[in-house]
Amino acid sequence: MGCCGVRRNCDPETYLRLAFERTLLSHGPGNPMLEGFEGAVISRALTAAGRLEQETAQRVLDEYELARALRQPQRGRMLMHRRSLAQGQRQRFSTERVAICDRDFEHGNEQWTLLRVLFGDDATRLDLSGVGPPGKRGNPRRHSAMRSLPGGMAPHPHPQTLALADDQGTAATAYVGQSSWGDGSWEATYTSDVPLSPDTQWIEVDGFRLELPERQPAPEVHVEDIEPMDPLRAVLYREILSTDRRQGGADTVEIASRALVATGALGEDDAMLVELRRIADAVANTTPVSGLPEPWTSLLARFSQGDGRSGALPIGAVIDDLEGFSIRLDALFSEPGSFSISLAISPGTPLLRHFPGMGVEPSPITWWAEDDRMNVYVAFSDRGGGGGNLAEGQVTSLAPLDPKATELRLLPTGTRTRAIVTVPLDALAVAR
Amino acid sequence: MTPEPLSELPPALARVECSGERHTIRWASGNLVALDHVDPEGERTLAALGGTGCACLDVLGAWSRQQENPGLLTALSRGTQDQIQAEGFQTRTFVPYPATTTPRNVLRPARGGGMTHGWVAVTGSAVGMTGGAVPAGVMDPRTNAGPTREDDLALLGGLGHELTLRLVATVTATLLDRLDGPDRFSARPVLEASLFGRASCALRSWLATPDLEIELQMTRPDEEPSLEWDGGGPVQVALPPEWVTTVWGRDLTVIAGRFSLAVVDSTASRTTLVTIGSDLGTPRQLVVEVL
Repeated sequence: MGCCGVRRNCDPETYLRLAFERTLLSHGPGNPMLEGFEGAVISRALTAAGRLEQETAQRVLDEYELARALRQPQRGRMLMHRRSLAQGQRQRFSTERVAICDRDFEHGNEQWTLLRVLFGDDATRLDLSGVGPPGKRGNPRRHSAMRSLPGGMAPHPHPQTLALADDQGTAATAYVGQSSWGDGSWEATYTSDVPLSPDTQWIEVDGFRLELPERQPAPEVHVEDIEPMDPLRAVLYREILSTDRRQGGADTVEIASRALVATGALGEDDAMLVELRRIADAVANTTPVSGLPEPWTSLLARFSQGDGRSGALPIGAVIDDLEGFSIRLDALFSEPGSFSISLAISPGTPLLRHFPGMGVEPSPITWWAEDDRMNVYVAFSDRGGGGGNLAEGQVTSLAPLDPKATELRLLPTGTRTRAIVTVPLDALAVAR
Repeated sequence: MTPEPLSELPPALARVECSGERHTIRWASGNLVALDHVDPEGERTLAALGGTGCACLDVLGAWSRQQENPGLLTALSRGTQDQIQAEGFQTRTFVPYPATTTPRNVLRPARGGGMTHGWVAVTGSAVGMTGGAVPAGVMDPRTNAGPTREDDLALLGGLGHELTLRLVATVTATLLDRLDGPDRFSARPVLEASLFGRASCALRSWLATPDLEIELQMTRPDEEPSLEWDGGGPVQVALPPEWVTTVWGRDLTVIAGRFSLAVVDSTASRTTLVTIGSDLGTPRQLVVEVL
């Protein structure tokens, strides 16, 4: 008998079902978001190893998803919500220009900050924050935020509309979208009814004129084919890079490894398994280890560094089609310990899958990047909102930018292709 | 054809609220019958042609579609500790009865507001929510569609403990029949998982150890069932998949404080079981007789 109530050389479907049974019967309500986590990891590993048909794995996952939904009312609602997300339609983005402003101005008795303006071909979007009374500037993102809900709990402190204008004579009305507030400050996104000119040197917000930074050329974007990786190795790499790799004491790489050994897909001392466990340990401990294959050595070289520059720069690039996803890269924010890319993606699932362990399909896009000093980076979705059609948020790296790097190549990577977006770093402006 | 073990199981009843009255659904030999409807087939035909449906017909329809679905073993309760609550689902007009006092797996009709698609399953006396359980901004893709597999299983899973036992026993017996056929390998994983889950639930309750680990060996019917435990590690249990039909499906898992490993023989009034005490000593026969 092997571990966890299953025999060695267990039938793969039986192994998967028994894992789900144990989860279903586990004592206490647990965290409903994470239940099923083990079964999904096993499904991905066994299908990638060719030990289990994807159709069978999906059927088993669906059965247990329903079983959990019948035991937890909130699960039933999540099941419906996931169905709606799965039906997301791709829509194409347009970005003529992104301006990172950080322009403060007094609006009534409040101090407002125009954080960012995104010029599209159908609308212009403004990210604004406000704090009052004047002189007490704060960053709402650091406060406990409360999402505006229909029939909401408290009156929102920001206006519902703004009057906009540009130097080309365009006048527009902007309507509030997502917003959050708390502790006397707020942050909101406004979208205009008609687009402002991307060539404008200033915009007016409720009559307050704000100069914009000089327009920068959009970075070059192209998509190229990549050599497909062995499916099992690719799945296990993704488990190593998964943000939900460790949950409740479980480690997805170990869960996958045990499943592969128990079902006879790999031997306990298989060379690939040994190597993957070394990589997983090195990544988990953020410690460079000699003899690891690339990109792991280059990736680990920047771990545990705290020398990243602080600043922000606009990107304003659109990847029209990366294996069925459209991606809009808005801006880069660099801090001493990491950097983030704010972006939008359609369909929205890659940003909304905060717990990518829940499906048979691995997370469809890995956010790789590299610089001109041979460093490799990888980033994870850590902030996102939206729906099945479109989601916006950000991905954040595990390591900071090399302060001597002059160029960063963003490499959103699917299974067969990757995009390359080259971002010069010399314009990295100091952000507050 | 009804699998033979099912004809040995006693009939079971579920009471539902149907058209404003208390109606009874009876399980017997693997079939469901709506006792208060003279011509349910005729009514179903009329309902399909646009007539008014009712709770009893919904249950019969769901069962006719799902009685060979292995997924029913996954969806339905593993035992009294494993309670079904399906508040997040929307289905047709519903149903069961009584609406206030049944201790578990109670389904209540949606009320008021012209709600025609809504039912709710609640636990104990808690009042659940109705079909409007979809989060704001989420479209239910099934609007105006017929009942889905999920709707059917949620409906059947809410019919109460006694019916759950028999429905699971029926599907298990049907799948066991298939084990002799050309697709014999396809049913084995779901049968083993069902046995594992239901035996685990029963053993955890019997041994009063909620986090008890089980190591299961699925045996052939002609092999001796067994149960061993040193009080520390996992329980080693060897049972055939038939145990789900013959023992669990009759609600005989624990009798007089003893865990039932197998049924030796059974008549309408007398059942002989192989049982083991909580001291995990030698298995002994135990006779249950209705006088």
